[in-house]
Amino acid sequence: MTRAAVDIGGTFTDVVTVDESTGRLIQAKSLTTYPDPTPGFLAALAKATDRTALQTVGYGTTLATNAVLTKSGARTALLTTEGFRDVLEIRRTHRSTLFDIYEKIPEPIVPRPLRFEIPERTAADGSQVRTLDEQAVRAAAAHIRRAGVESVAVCYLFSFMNPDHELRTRRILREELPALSDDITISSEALPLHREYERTSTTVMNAYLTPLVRKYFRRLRAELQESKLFAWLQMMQSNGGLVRPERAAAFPILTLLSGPAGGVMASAYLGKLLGETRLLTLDMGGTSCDVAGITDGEPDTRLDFEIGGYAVSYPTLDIHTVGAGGGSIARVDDFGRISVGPGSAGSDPGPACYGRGGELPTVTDANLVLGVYDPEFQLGGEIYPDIDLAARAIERHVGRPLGLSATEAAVGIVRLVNANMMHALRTVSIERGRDPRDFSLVPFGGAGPTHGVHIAEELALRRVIIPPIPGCNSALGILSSDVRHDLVSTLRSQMTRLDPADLRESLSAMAEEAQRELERDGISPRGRTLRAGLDMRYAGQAYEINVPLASLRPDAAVLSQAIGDFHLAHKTRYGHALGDELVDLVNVRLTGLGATPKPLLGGASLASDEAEPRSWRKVVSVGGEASAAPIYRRADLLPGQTLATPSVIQQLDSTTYLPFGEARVHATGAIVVDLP
Amino acid sequence: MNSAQVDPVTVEVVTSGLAAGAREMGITMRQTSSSTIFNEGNDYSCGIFNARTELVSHGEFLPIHLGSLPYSVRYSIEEVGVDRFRPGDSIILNDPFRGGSHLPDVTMVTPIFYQGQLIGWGANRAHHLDVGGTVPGSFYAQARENYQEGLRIPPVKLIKEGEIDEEIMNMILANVRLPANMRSDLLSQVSANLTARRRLIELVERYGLPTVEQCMAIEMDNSERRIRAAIAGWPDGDYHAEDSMDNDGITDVPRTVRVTVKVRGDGVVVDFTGTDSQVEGPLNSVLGYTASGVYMTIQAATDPTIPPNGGCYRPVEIIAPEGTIVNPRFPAACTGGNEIVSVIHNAVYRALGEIPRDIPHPVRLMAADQGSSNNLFLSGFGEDGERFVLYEYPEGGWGGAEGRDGQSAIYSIVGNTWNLPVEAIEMKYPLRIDRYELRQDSGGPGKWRGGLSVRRDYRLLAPSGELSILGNRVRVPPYGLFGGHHGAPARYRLDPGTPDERLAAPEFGAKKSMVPLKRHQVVGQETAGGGGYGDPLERDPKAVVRDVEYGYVSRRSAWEDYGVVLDDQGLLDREATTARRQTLEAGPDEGTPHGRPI
Repeated sequence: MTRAAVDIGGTFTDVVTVDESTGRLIQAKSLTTYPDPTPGFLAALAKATDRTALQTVGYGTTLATNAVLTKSGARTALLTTEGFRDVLEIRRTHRSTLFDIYEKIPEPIVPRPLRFEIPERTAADGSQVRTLDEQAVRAAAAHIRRAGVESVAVCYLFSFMNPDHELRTRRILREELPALSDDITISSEALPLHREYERTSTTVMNAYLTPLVRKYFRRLRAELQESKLFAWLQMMQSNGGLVRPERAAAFPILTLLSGPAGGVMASAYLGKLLGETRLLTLDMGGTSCDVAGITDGEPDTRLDFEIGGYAVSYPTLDIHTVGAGGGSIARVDDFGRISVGPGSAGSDPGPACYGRGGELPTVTDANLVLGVYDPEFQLGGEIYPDIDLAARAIERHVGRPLGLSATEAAVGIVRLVNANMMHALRTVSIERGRDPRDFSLVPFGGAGPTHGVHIAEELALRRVIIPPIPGCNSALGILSSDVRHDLVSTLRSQMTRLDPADLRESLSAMAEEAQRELERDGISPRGRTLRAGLDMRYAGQAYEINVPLASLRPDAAVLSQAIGDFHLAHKTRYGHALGDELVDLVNVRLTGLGATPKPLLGGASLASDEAEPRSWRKVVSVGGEASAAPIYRRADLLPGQTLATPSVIQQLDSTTYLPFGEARVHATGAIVVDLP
Repeated sequence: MNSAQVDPVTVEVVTSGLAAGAREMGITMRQTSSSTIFNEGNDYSCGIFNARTELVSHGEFLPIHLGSLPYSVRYSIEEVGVDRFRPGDSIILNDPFRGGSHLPDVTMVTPIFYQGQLIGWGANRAHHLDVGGTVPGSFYAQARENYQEGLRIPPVKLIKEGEIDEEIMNMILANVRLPANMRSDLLSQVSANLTARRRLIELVERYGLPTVEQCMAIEMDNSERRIRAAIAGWPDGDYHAEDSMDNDGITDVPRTVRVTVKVRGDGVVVDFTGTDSQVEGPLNSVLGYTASGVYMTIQAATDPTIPPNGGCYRPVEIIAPEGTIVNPRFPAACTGGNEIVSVIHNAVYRALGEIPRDIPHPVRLMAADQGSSNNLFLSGFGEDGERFVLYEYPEGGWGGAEGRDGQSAIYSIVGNTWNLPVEAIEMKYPLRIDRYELRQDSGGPGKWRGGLSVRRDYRLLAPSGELSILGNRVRVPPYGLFGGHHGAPARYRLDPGTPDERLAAPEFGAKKSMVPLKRHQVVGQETAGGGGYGDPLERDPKAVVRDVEYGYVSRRSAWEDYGVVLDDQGLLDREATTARRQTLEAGPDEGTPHGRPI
């Protein structure tokens, strides 16, 4: 039996397959096809495996993300509590730049004429202080029918305390608008948490994406059946878990960070094989860089994020993105200030060295000029870079304005882009109360391994781990992820006054739901794991910390342990803790995991010699010194071999630069670099 | 200054590290504090200073705090004595006349030592819900001297070599209405400064003190050069303007800030000579506050991409005669100083609007913003007997600008806080919010319309309570520019839309303390909209039709202010519009001089 994972990116579709009997990994690439990515996906798959042997196909896609960024979601209407239709437009009233009075704030997804106010009201304690005006709902439905609306969001105040009005509203809408029955999102299901702007925005975002994603999956399924591919499909979610397509179609916001999540999961899995539980991941591609932290073997998660300027409050991996990639453009302003990114040359025109009309120097051009990239080696498997074009662009736009040679300017560009990524890594480590020096770095993506060792050194990390196929790490991550469902419900109480029975009741209802979901995902009861956690904070605080709960049937002892764990977590993050009686419970969370078989990495043979380079080349370090460095081919390297430094390792999907450190090939095929 | 030795890349690496540190201070504050005003409203600002007390880096906080923070550091040194600081000390202050702004803003200043040498400062300022005084929330609209407005704290060490001075802490907490919150919030202010200390020391350990100091100097020089370059593009000359507040809460007479911006080469003198004398009521702005209002306007008017730091302030000289509302003498009451900063900002901006616009880089200009912080307090005791104080300072509209309508529902330029979620309020306070929406017709009509402001209605659920207001823009609305009309004035009502409806503060419009409220009584707050920019008769009729469809503008205003006529389907009636616009152009309509009845 074979399992496959596909990661559909903007330029390439990556496929990685694993043969369950041998653990052998096969990687294949194909150009992404537009507008329908399925032909590209099938082409890549055909290169990797015989499709009849396929058991499951894990699927990562930026479909939902792109729909948000290109504003191509559905025409969406919103029903909301009377007096509150502008919550979506008022937002949180602050701005991200202080002095830019012309800052552009994105238009609300639902324009004002499509926001309908419904007389109804639930109070903070869940009691209904004004009954639902069903006639008003029907009248809104009539407008919606006439207005060519494709999906509907319903968000009433305090529906997370009592969903009755939203449920009744959905029932009426389905009666009145049968064509839209599958495209109604209610906030008490999408995000049963307080803060009306964030909940409305999340609910609207889900409704906005539902028709598109649902139709896409329907078509995908049909196309796969037509080509006799009957494998079980699983979608990658932003939380690092897989889910069946039906669920992703109902809650497309689950997949908004599907792409970057895969790479983090692959790193966590690789860490497990290497016995490393504290990792920082660095996924550097052409335009941006995604970083994340992994603590105790588990990727860090966060409870909200922003996309295209819109708030989405949903648990996701804590991935932080900065505009630093191979295509990031270096500039010097009129006042002699140099910057790299966030502007990017992308893949068209691309870096100056592509010779496609790009005039401005990029990070890729700098790496080429420094000798880290090989002018004789195809970048991304298709372009031979032109070193003269790169040098000229750097000279003209950075060197001359600063009075530096092209090489000196290239060193500066690399140092700056490294600094940008270093700050991003600090965000996910130091700002979360963690000392980065306790972590190892996993750099991947096309350019991550080029910069990783330097960045690790800047942050005083001890070890860098370069995955076996850095350019397809996201696909590998999809292959090594479990099925996952994150559930949340509101339960507010002072922790010391909480009756364990109330908590047990809430947990058992959530556990039942998680079991049902896993059943539908085809996970056998033996493969299911449930775990619970509590969102707690000190009285008055607005931000919670999630602390795992030792048991799904907690008694007083389990609760008091949770309080203790919360104090500890708060102290670790912020340096102080307060009294027991000040700890408040806000939400209960439960995660249902469904185990999937994991790919084996690496082969059995172990070597102990030093690897043989293919050639030697002059490489300039960020210190500015030039020296001849051995150039390895990744495919030549055998587990157990040691590598000289400084050196460069080339492979189709990535270039690794090892300026210093002790490097060896691990049994998994990963390269482990220990820094002094 | 010898700045040739450090390469530009290192400068960028070090200064971006400092900027990240300042932002991180804010994150520490938000996540550890226990008051809504900190952790939902984000009413605080953080900065890192060099040893010479120049502001080196700050995050996206409140402009009104940032320009005045350096005063706090300097007064701390003056009051405590430069040789009396020890590692681990933190200084607290709120005295407006010794480095503070208004009493609710409490500032924490922490010297940063490296190997025994003072290398810089971390400082932050945060708005506390209550610092004592006559009224809950400490915004007493009829205060006549600073003593009535709350506890005054001169610069003193709250933390001594890492230990809290519990005697000073107790002294402070004994004078405020919400002591538990305040203790925790003060400690989160200290934590934020320790974050600054950690970051600065890390940079010094890595790059060495001389390099870090040079990087700071170069970065500030860069910002200074860029501001100067922008100013040099403005024709030399004296540009005069004024703006007024409604009154001082004691006498119902408008009080005026008069300013002359003197452009001289690559520098400006901002001269407030002629501004009204300091007032009896609490509407006086201390010099630090005034400086904030000036600096933020210059930064917004020049180039928002210039890294904000002390270098930006160097090309700007401020003349603020003592004894005026922009530089009052002790013991003037000054809680409403933040209101004056809005007036200062709008006056200076209006003066900059006088600069000819046919130059390569004209002033980045807009018509007046809402021009007030709209301070509103609801207080009382809940069913459980516990005291509550809700402080609201809602957003309004920004002015229109060349090529774009004003932003709706956004915090005044002087601040940058977040609104409080309705659900967060109702879970914490015995209140229910009946509505929270954009105000139709609040944006000043113009070729580019002013941004819309908001309305929020609060219903008291407790047996009884009180309302206090300290705002403006009921009598003097935000101005329009170049033929644009003013924004809708603010309005404060009790029981709006019922037979019992009445103005909440009839005497002074937006200033009143301790209005008694009964259970289920409703307070309706409407903030002012932004001013319009350019003649509304030149507005694209299609934009007006859309505004009517969206409900931003009423049909009546479309007719009266814009001369746009819609048919029964809400579509543009072109012929009638042309005729209507000709009529309006021919002479003033029967409406008010501003075009629309108030």
